[in-house]
Amino acid sequence: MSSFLFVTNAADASPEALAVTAKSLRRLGFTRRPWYLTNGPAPLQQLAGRRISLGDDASAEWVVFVAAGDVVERDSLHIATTIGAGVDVLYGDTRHAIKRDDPLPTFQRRPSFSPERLRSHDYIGEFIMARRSVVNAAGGLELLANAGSHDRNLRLTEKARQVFRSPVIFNVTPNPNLLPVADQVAVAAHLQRTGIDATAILDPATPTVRVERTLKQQPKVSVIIPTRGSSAEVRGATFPLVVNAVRTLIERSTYQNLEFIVVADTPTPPEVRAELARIGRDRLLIVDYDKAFNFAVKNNIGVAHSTGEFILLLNDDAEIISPDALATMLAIFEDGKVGIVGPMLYFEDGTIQSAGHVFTPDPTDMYRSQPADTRGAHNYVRVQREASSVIAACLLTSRAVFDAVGGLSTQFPSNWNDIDFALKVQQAGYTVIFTPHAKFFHFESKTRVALRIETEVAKLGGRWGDILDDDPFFNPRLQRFINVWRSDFHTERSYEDALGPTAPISSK
Amino acid sequence: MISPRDDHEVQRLLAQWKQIDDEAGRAATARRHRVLQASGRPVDEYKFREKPNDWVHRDWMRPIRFVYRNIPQGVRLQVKKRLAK
Repeated sequence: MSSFLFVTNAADASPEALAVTAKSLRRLGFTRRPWYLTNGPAPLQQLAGRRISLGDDASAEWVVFVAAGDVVERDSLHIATTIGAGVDVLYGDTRHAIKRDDPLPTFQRRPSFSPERLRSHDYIGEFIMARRSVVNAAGGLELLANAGSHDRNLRLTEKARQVFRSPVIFNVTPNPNLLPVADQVAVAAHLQRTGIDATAILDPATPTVRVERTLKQQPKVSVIIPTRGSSAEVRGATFPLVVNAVRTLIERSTYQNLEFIVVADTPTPPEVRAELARIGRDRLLIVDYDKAFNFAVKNNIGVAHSTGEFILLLNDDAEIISPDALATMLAIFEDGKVGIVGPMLYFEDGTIQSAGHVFTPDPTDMYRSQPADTRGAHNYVRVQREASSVIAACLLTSRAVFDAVGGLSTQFPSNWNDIDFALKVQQAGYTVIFTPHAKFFHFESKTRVALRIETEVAKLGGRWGDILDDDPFFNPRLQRFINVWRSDFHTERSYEDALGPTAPISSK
Repeated sequence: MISPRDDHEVQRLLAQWKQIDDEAGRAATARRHRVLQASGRPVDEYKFREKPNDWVHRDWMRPIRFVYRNIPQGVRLQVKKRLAK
């Protein structure tokens, strides 16, 4: 039977708030509960009551960090007692004890463990459970009890063998729905402890911490662009999209160790080919493609002709915005576990085209059609984070990863080859990262609705159905709310409208 | 211009990737079957649920929703708390 030690930092806490937490501990059952309070007011024992023993308990298997004023839900203890021996750190969802007329969301629904996101901000919050051995390894009870939540959660997760998220209410907080905190000093110390060569830059307005990794080498990047050489009107001018994609990369990108492999359908106009050859010079190859349309095959052929250590899959209707986009994306690969990096994509009018995917279970672009300055629920759009998938309109991967998973699956000629690719990459043990710090345009039609082919749904679901039904970087409790949003897709409604200002990790 | 790679080499790479993709697909399918079997769900052809977990908007819920919306707010909040567990 697991035993629990509850830990609260009582600095600045009112006796009333401590009394609420003490009452919730007494209500957890007849077992005597040890409660470790730092900076607590006197007389504490009178406040705690007889069924609570104040002080440390070295024999406790789990340490539960709980903020003063929070109520501990019994389910959290039950889950800890039944969880596998390999799990060292556990967190769940939070309910806000709001007033009746308060328009704020009631719940914080959290995604499963997302270490890159945790470096950006403390999405886990104050309530976290950790095995005593991990608490000791992470600096000890006193240090963690006095640390801020971002610092504490970074330290605990560094030492954990496995971190587990349970989509169940673990605590009830009287606090209004606060944005996740971001502690730049804590992140900088974390980077030093874990040997990540990066700079932690605070954006105090959001607040988030940008972890900017140091790009140590300048590997060659092969840009693979499948095209038909079509022209379109963009910003009032009509031009061949593929020419614009190549030209803007050459003119704007600060990273120039590039080669371009353009896989051109037979109808591609000769003047487009000539213009590509002119601007690409000795860095460009045009590969002819005369078979039936298959996006995956076209990209694979392009990669087969390329020589770069990294591969940027780029649609011909894309255009680089931030000059350091490629350098930013490449630097993320300094973490050897990263398999794919996807940037923030915008429509021509500046609204968001994709901020990564979420499975609902239908793969969906996050925050599609929302204004460029959208922060998203809990600053979701502003943080570099793990995602289950990113759109292949602009996707950077390494040749080693591409080879290891067999490239894009030719079983998906039009839809979802990027979803399948991202999930294969994760199956092989790599992560997929979305970064808002690299920006591209994607001039896709706003009203385009992908044609759903049932045989492709069956194929995708046959491989990944369980993951589509429960996206690890989303929360199963939010899926029905997504439906509300999707049903009103073509209007201005957003996740916020459907779920409240803290969606998707919170809901009304 | 970059010189194109030899066509035989390209075809060899494409065939190699196809084989690896098939293996990855088989591993993924086997993993999904294990997950479904472990949770007691049937292993059948996958289809997107048109309305995932959307029990709230089913027709038979309409009178219940009407009652729920018209009960005192405090009671409604208690119901929400219970359902949220």
